[in-house]
Amino acid sequence: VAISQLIVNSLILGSIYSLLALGFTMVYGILKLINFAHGAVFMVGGYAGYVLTSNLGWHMAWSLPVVFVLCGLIGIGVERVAFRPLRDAPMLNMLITSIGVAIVLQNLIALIFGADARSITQGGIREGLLFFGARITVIQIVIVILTVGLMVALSVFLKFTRLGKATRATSEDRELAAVRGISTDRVIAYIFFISSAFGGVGGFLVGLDQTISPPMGIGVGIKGFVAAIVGGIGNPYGAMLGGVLLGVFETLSIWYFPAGYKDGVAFLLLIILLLFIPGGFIEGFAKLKHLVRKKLWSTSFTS
Amino acid sequence: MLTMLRRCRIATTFLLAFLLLGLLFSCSQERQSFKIGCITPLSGDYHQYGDRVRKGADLALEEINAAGGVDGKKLEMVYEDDQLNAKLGVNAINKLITVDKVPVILGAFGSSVTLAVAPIAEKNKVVLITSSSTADSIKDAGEYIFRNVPTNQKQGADQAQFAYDELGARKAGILYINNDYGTTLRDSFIGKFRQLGGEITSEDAHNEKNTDFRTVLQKAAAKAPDVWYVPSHDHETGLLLKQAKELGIKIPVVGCDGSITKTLIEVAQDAAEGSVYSSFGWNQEFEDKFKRKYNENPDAYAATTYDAVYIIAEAIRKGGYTGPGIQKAMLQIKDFRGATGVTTFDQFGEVSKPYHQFIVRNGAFELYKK
Repeated sequence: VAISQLIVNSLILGSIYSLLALGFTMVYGILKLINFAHGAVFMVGGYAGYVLTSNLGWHMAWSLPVVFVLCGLIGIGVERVAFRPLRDAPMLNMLITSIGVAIVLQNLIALIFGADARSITQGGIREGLLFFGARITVIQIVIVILTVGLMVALSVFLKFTRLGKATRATSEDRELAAVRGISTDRVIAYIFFISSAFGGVGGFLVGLDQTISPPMGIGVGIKGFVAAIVGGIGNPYGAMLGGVLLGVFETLSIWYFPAGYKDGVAFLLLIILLLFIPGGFIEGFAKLKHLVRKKLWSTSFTS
Repeated sequence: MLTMLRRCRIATTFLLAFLLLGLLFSCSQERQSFKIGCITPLSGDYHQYGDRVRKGADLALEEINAAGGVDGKKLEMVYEDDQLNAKLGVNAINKLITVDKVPVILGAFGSSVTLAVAPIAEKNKVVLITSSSTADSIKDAGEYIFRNVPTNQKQGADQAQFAYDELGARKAGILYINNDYGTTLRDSFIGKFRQLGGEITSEDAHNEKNTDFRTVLQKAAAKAPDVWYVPSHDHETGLLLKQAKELGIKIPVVGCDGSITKTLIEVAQDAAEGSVYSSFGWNQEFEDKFKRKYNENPDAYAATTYDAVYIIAEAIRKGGYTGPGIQKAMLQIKDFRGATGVTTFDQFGEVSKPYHQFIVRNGAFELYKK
């Protein structure tokens, strides 16, 4: 097996983690809330895709944007109903509420669809395409490309649009942003839309690649959350990096160590990493840049 | 002083009245049914197993009760959900023993849960009979612990023999689930396969609820085994088969009884074709009855559970509705004829039954024939 296969495997895993990490990190950035309902929205995305493709017979390409919008709206709804009334309450209250929302969503889906694992894959299972010596299925290519595309779109949105700038301002200082005339309620609603839409699309993609079941968001949700922390929580670019890194660590630990220790080895590596850069990747980069600049400056000064 | 006395008297009268009433009530409320407990996963990731257990048990109960019940009383099943989780299993058995006061419990489904609840059953002298847990250590779990399925020791060895003789495999790789069930099957397969002269190329674990097998599949495939032995659950095995096909890996898979459910077919679809699993057979009579009631095919768990309920009914009939009575009666059960063949318990509460091989053909499990 070529190295290219390991890279492909890491990328597939990492893409999903990144999509989820983005949702965690954006909501945290703006509300300082660890949104445990995020994994459940991911799962709802999987089931929404199941209804569209398997029950209504839609093509995947048409279902994806619908799942995106639908899960985004669910995100806005959850924020409106469960989080907005608690905006000024202690953070712990919101945290508990988010766990509650997760449990409600998970059981609701189990009630409607049953607890069985289901498959969205249609027309049988085909061998993957050969790509630089690595096997990858069409769905997996879609996963990687779509993730990269969504991330680029998000970066552009945050950097260049008015709303994106308002978002960054709000996450830096909510009160000051409000004073400057930014409608923070609206910004927060948009953030929930984006984060839930990304999560939902992730759930649909995982459903297409693997299976859907009501608890599917729990394990992946934790991984996405970890990826967000490793990247430096609150920072979207960090989340992307963190997700890919976690994917790489997992794949490498399966390859080089007994496979049963996969999570143990991956998390150990992450703990070690965090010991050296407690603020996550982005802070690490900032420090490095600072260090290099200082060094350059001092050398140029003395010489 | 007088008022105090009078108050006391009134209070005592009331108390007596209540006591009498209670006595009357309890007399008129004489037991209408014999309750049996059942611990099985009814929700969560493994609820599909509990569904089979419940369907098998309900079919048996319906027949027994329609035929007049046990000693003129109806049998009633109290289901408790363990989600295949040892902690929830312990809660369930405590509830069944203290609240429902059942002297006999069917379950638990998974070996890890059965091993966790067995000491509690043993301590309270409540008979525990499992129709699905196959871990070897259950043999020594206690006098009150029975099962009407053979051990993993036998199952793994039978599959090793099958892979060596029927499939002509000389090199085998193992992809096992990391729990009591998976590790005992792994060990018994390896023991027998090596004894036959075969070689084990790799042993790789995966955890419960794992969904990504791509890297571990490629790692194990690189050792070029003739066959893979996969002692795991249905969802996991299904994903493993699917991803192996996507990766272009064509190593035949031999699995275990935990994977024979419709979930495996749903998940793996055509990637499951040709994979072989060990389980028990059942007779045509049971299959017909099951199909008539549920309009679907039975599986091994439904069949063994169906038998277990009949065995419990027989034991209550012979030993009375108490834990020790049922325990003694169970040990005396000889040549009980059920859907899965003949059952006789040895002194450890174990049975000896043959395993059969089932192969997936056209999306259904069929008895393997060469």
